[in-house]
Amino acid sequence: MDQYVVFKSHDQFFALPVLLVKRIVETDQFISLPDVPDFVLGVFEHQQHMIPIIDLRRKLFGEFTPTTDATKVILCEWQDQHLGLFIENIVGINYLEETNYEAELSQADLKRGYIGKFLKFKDQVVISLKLDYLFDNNQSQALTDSVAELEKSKEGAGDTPTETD
Amino acid sequence: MAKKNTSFGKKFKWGLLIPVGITIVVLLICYFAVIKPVGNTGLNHSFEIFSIVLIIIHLLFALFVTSKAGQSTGPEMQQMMRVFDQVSNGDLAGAEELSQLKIKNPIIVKIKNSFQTIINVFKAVIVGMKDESQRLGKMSQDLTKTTSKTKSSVGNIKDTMSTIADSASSQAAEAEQTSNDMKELGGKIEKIHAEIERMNGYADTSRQSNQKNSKLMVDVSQSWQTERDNQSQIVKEMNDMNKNVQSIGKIVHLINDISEQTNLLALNASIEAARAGDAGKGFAIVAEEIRDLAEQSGQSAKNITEIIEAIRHQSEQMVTALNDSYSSSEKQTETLNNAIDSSKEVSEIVKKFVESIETVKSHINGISKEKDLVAKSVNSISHSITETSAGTEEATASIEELYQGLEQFEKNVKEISKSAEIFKFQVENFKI
Repeated sequence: MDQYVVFKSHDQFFALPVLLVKRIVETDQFISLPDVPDFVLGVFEHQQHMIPIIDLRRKLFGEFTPTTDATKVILCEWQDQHLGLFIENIVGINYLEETNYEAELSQADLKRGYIGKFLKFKDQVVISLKLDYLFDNNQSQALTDSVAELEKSKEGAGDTPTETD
Repeated sequence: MAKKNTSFGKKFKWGLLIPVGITIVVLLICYFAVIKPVGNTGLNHSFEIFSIVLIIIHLLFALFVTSKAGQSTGPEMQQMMRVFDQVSNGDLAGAEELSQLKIKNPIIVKIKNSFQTIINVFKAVIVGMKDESQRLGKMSQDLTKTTSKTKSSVGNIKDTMSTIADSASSQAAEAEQTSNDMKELGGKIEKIHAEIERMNGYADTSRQSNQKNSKLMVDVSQSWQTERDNQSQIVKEMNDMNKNVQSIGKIVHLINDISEQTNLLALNASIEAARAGDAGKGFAIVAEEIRDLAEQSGQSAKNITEIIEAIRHQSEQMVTALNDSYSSSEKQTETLNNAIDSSKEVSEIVKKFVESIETVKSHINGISKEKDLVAKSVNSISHSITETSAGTEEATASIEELYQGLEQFEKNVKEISKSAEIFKFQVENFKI
């Protein structure tokens, strides 16, 4: 049993392993980027890093997440990559059981790229997001590049010491 | 012999003895006045003889004269007597014969002449009487005509008087009727007068009630004004309360924010604790508790917010209701003011009404007085008509009497006419 951060998007429970999550912040103020897909809301500056923010609902279900008091941004870190997920609500940090549902879905050829595992939270089924899908997105290559450029220009202007990825 | 005595008796004029009587009386006076007082018997005796002789001589003379006169006038007297008879029969023309008679006796001539003179005078009288009788006849005819005309006129007057009497009696009846009508009218006027008095009383009561009404309405208006002030005060206080509630809401919002921040902090603390591994386990429990507390306080803040929202909603409704009430009270105030104005107008109208009633009253008083005068006049008219009626009746009676008198007069005139006829006839019997 591992610890997960459980959250909601498109009225569906999702989970991320707690060790991947660096911080949860409450904001909707992002720096907009040109020539990026519409699910990229912009970048957010956190601890000397420019972190791209993705609207999870837009990416997975094609609809923008409406901004409320409960909307939060989950800042994640995996293999020296940073990413922010704009989600509807944080449910909590819990220990979740694993299931074998994803194997049945694979047999039925319904498993999508973002589904990592199916987890059990109380009576609810929670989808554990597949981190490869989130971080190894080819479509976001240009995004990564532009983020890198942005960081460089910021280094030059701010004259602050930075870590390189 | 007897026949002779009779003729003598006839012929003898007893009037010749009157001087003898006178002589006897003178002798008696002389005897009693002159001879007897002397008392001489011789003288008495001589006077007695003288008296007897004188009386005898006188008697004889008288007898002689009588016989002498009868003998001398015999045939002439007879002629005279014939003429006299003719004349006495009305044939005055016979008197003409007297002038042809030749009479020697101067006494008879004198008598004849005197008689002729008398006859002539008588003729003249008869002629005059004839004329007069003709005039009298004519006059009596005229009188008859005039009388008959007068009678018919008086008859007309009688009819007219009867008509007048009828009219007078009908007028008297009408005047009586008018008098009764006037009395009735007077009674009605009195009733109207009484009714107007009552109306005046009602109007006065109405005025007083209206004044009371006005006063009450003013009182109501004042209370209403106070009520409105209170209402506006309540609205103001409600608005203040709303603001306070909003302030509370802001505070609660702040609390909510704090609880959310706390929640976030607790979440991040939990993440940090998880990343710390076993070392962070205790901290993770604390962070979880903090998170529970933050959620609880957030929930409470939400509840409070809902309650405040409900309160705000209710207070808004109350303010709306109060505002509605205030605006309707404004309308009511206006209505009340209108009612007060109307009441004032009613007061004015009632005042004018009372004035009009007073005027009517004074008029009716005048009418009442005049009614008495008119009733008096009608009474006097009735009285006059009654008097006139009585006078007319008297006049009718007088005319009736006059009519009867006239009838009598007519009769008399007829008699006069008849008498005149007779008179004429008698006069015409004389032959001149």
